[in-house]
Amino acid sequence: MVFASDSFIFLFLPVFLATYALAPAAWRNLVILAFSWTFYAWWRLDFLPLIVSIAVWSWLTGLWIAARPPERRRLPLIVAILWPLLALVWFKYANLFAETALSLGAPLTGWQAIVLPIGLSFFVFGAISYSVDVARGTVKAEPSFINYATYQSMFGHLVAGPVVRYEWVAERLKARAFDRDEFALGVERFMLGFAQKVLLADTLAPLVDAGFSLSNPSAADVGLSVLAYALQLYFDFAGYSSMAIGLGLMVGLKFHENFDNPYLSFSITEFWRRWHISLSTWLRDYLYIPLGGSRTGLARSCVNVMITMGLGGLWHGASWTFLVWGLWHGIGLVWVRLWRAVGLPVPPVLVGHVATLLFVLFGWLLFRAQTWAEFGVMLHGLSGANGWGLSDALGAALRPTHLLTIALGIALVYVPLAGRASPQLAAKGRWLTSWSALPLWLAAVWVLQGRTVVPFLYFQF
Amino acid sequence: MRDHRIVAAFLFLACCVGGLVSVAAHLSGPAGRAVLDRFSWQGILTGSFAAAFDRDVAAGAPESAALNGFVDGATYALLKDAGAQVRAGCPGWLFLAEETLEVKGGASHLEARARMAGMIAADLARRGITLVVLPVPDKVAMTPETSCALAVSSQARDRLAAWHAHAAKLKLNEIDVTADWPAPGFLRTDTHWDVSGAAFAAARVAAVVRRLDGEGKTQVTLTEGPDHLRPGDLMRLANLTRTASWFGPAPDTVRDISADIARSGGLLDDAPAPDTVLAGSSYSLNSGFLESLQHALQREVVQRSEAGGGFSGALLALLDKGPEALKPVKLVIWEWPARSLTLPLTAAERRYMEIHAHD
Repeated sequence: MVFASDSFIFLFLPVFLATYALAPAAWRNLVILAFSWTFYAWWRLDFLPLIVSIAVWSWLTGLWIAARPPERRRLPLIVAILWPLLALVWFKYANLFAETALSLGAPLTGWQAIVLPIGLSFFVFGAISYSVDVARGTVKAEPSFINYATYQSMFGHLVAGPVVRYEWVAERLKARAFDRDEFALGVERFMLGFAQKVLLADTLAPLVDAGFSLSNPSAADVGLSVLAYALQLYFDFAGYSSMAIGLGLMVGLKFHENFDNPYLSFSITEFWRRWHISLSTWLRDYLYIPLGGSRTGLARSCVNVMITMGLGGLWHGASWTFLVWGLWHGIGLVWVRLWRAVGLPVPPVLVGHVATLLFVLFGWLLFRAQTWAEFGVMLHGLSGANGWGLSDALGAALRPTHLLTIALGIALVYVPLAGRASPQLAAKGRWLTSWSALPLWLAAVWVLQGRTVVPFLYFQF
Repeated sequence: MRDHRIVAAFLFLACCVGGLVSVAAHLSGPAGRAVLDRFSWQGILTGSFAAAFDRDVAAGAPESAALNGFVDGATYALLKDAGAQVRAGCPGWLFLAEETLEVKGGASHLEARARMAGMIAADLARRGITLVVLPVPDKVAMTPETSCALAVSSQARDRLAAWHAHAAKLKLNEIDVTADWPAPGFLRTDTHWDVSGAAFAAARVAAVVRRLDGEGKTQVTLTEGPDHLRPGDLMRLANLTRTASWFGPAPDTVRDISADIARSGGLLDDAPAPDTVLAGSSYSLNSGFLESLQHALQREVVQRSEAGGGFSGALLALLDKGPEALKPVKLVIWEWPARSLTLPLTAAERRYMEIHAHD
């Protein structure tokens, strides 16, 4: 089920909230869990046992890890991580390995493509972070399966993140009281995210699809397509994250922010502090630091960055283009690191910002391309080989509404700058945002009635 | 900020509950019974039941046709944006977006269709049937003065020329209506030709048929009805029918055409069955094309066209009926819109090509 759908807004959510409100406090996690599993099974019931099994496994092994002294937790930790990781590798990467093997001439006759269960990547990362945190002793093992499974499966973040950590919600899973202001804030966040998704991201989706399917794009076609995609992806995922945070607040669970104006960054390092924060911090805490992080000298830390970003890229999807996208960003992060290590001056703000944006946009070309061939077509177009101006092919797909949405999207990206410059403007901006949430949501619901539901882009990851 | 947030949250919940009531009311009727009829464990397992149920819920969601019409009309008037499926040209003129867009793999789809046309022509020739092919050019290509420089992809621009090259190789009896087209020849708010365009195309077809099959012997008289307003299909697609008087465009003014056929039956009115069939798309169903065709041919023509039939929907349906259905037929006029050339092949087209791959 998609948040931005009639089924969710007019059926699932009101029934869930009513049931949740009427349930005794002790039963509320069970209500969340039951609805979350229903939410997941809505997509396909036959994959529900998989996520339930991962939840059971992680919960049981968590108890096992906690029962062992700190110095003897390695084995249970490995066991705890093994099943979720195997499930992820099998369901997400088996097709990639099989296709690669087939392309190299391996005798893999009769290979049947495997369906990727939605949200598996997020679910597995949540499970791994819990196991590692219990092993490290930073969180206590959750004694109640209902509480643990609620953390793992809460429908707000189940299928497309953010990558929620157990420590964020541990206290409130045990006991929480209804807070009217928090609930209202949750509703506001949900409405704003919904509007971002439907009014901005989904409006740009047809233009992006058209742009990336051109056979001979011009340089301007590629530029416009990737700009539209950058905005679509941001408003789609930031919108989803806002909805997830809002849904969490409605039931008294606080998730961390997942985006912090990433397109206002002045370096790639800053970009990764602002983009998909729950993933970048997860990669930092559970991959980069265990690899040695920055404690092992400049050269080794650069290698660690490349490994982390490569795997982070591959996490997004079973395609070598994602791996290269991750490595591309790894190169960017290493570049910044070396720049500083050599003691070169920090570039002017505008130069840093433009360079970062161009770097990120080029990365999105890799990220959006379905195949190397498609990336090659876009690269060829970018070189000007098919001309520089906007082609009629993309011009035919470009509607005035797209241009308006792109302009609005760019404005929304840069508006926070005014808030940074003036606290009064920032306060005015917050006030305006808050007041516009309901009308924007109503407009989005209205727009939704005339459209087919567009799944969130991060459902595929 | 706190108070208004709480009010907004309350209104949000009220909207959700209002929607729930609307959906429940919808599902308590025939739609709900249809949901129950569709229920299956297999559907639950694979998610197909839920997907269909989502559509049922969407159908029951509250909406305001008046509001939709107002917003779409205002968007058209202010931005010249007529929605995803329609493009706005010069004031009052609408065009189907499909005529302008590039389709991924369009060139290979066109080539496949050319191969299929060869197969169909051979198939009909084996049955002793002559095939005449009438591609209807895109409105946007034929009325450049009304499109106000609307962007058209090179694939869309060049597809008819590419088709002509294939048709020449296949030696098809093809009618080219692009030369001397009676501009504009198309309706303003509709994707189809107008009466003059339809009559011109019919005359072109008749000229070719006369060369192939001689003169017709049936007396056909045309009658034109009075003028009346006709909101076109593009207005409906763009949802502009409700607010046309405020925001435009104004509907077309058209006249209906009817044909009177003098059948020369014998004593028992045993006139032979017509031997000419028109298997086309919605163009053959609009602006009196069939009537004009019968008048130009001076013979009765059986209408077998299908709205939405695209390139070959109607013709393949006819061929599917088996040899008996085509027994009296000597001539098939196959009309299709040029824009259908580059679209992905339909299931019926793929099936036909598989069956006749080794003919």
